Amino acid sequence: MSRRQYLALVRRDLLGETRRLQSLLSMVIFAVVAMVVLHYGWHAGAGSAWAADGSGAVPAAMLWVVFVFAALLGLGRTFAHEREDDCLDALLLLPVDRFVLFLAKATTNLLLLVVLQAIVVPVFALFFLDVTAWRLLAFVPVALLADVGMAAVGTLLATLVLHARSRDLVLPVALLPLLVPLLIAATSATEAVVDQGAGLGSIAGRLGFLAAYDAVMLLVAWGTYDILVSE
Amino acid sequence: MTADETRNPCISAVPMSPRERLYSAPALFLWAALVLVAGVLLAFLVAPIDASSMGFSQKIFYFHAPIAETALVAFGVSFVSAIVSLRRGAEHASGVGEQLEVAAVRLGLVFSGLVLVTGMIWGRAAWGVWWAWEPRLTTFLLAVLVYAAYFVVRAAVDDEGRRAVVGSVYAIVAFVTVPITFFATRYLPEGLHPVVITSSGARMEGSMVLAFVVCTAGMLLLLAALLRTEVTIARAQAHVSRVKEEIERRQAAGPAPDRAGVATPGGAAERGEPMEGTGRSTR
Repeated sequence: MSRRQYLALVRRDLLGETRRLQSLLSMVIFAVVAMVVLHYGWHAGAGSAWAADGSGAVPAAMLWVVFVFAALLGLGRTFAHEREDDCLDALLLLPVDRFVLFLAKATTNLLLLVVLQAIVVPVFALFFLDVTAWRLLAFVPVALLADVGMAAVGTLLATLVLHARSRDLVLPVALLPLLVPLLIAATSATEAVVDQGAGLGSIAGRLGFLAAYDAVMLLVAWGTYDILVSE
Repeated sequence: MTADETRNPCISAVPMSPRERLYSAPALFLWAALVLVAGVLLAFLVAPIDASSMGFSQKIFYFHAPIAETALVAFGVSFVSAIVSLRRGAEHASGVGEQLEVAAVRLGLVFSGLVLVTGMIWGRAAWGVWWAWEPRLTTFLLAVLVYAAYFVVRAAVDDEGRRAVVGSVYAIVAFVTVPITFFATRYLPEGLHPVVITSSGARMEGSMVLAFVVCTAGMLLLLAALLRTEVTIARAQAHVSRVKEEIERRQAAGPAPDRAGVATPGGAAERGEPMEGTGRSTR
């Protein structure tokens, strides 16, 4: 292959990319969001005894980064069966309120997240933490509130990108920035109750924020889901 | 095409009324320029130099804070436009509401970029660092990322009507980040970012407040002028697309008989006869 042909092909690809900016913008958004999440995890654990022992690792951030990336795999497949088996229209023809459809999908995603955490958290505690079971129990309300938010916004956005090109690329790009406020609250609350042994009363504000986030996302889904799946 | 769909004020020969002229894009740009010049003069000549350690560098506040508020207002406009678009139903989602929503998000991002740049300059002067991971800065960065993803989401949907609905729903979801950004400095005490305007009033001298208010009004007028221009351009583009489609449709329908009853390849479009509903000749 000549140098001219090679340069022409590179130019063609770059021109296509500069016209749409989709890949570059997606990569930049993803990278910056990952930095924000890791920063907040690092910051939350920086003053703790766990980080001060020289290990340099931050359990709360690690835990939530694991959950988010695992959740992305599940959320991306919210409508996979309907797409693969070509039965989306049949599902939409069901004589049920579209919001019920959303709740059903979101509940499935929520249960998947809960089961994932029920498996991962004890294993994680065994390998990375030296805490009592009581402290792990205090993590339950934090995880549940964060999971509801993740499932709600994740299901809504999975529906949003249902007919999109490159939906596997678009979903994380759209979802991750929206999850950052939730992740910041969940990470700092997890760090407080699991690592520092704080009571739930001391993280009431963060739990309240998570509950408000859940309520707003459910409200948005209630208001928009019908038109979103009708179109 | 209906007459309503095809009427386009930007290429219409109908003259504007004095009231329309007052709110036209050039008039809004002129108002914005006048108010902003007044704001600059007030900020540099009337408002005193800040007594704190910030000193002269505090002057950037008169531009940084109004730009930030204008960015949030732009996102608010996109939120309201999205709701209006969706309330009109999926079949009408792509229209003026959508054009305003897209323009508002785009301009919100531009103003947000300026906020980050001016904030970094001020942060370097006030805190000695270009960037600090404190709540206001982080949440603003977050809002930028969320709204940047708006264009990624829209670009991934081919169908025009579906793209409008998807964009509107995403604009509504994205607006969640705006109150978070606004209240971040008020409810997260560990932040470095100062809270100047509080519920108990402004923590500034009267002349400083005046400069701030005038600069904010100037920025909002600039946003209005830019929004008006963007929407006019978008409407003109949509109008041209519709006319092109109409020409293609007529050409695809086959040759139309000319005045003498003889078929000609281009039909009405090539002869420059008025297009259906446009009220204008193609010549």
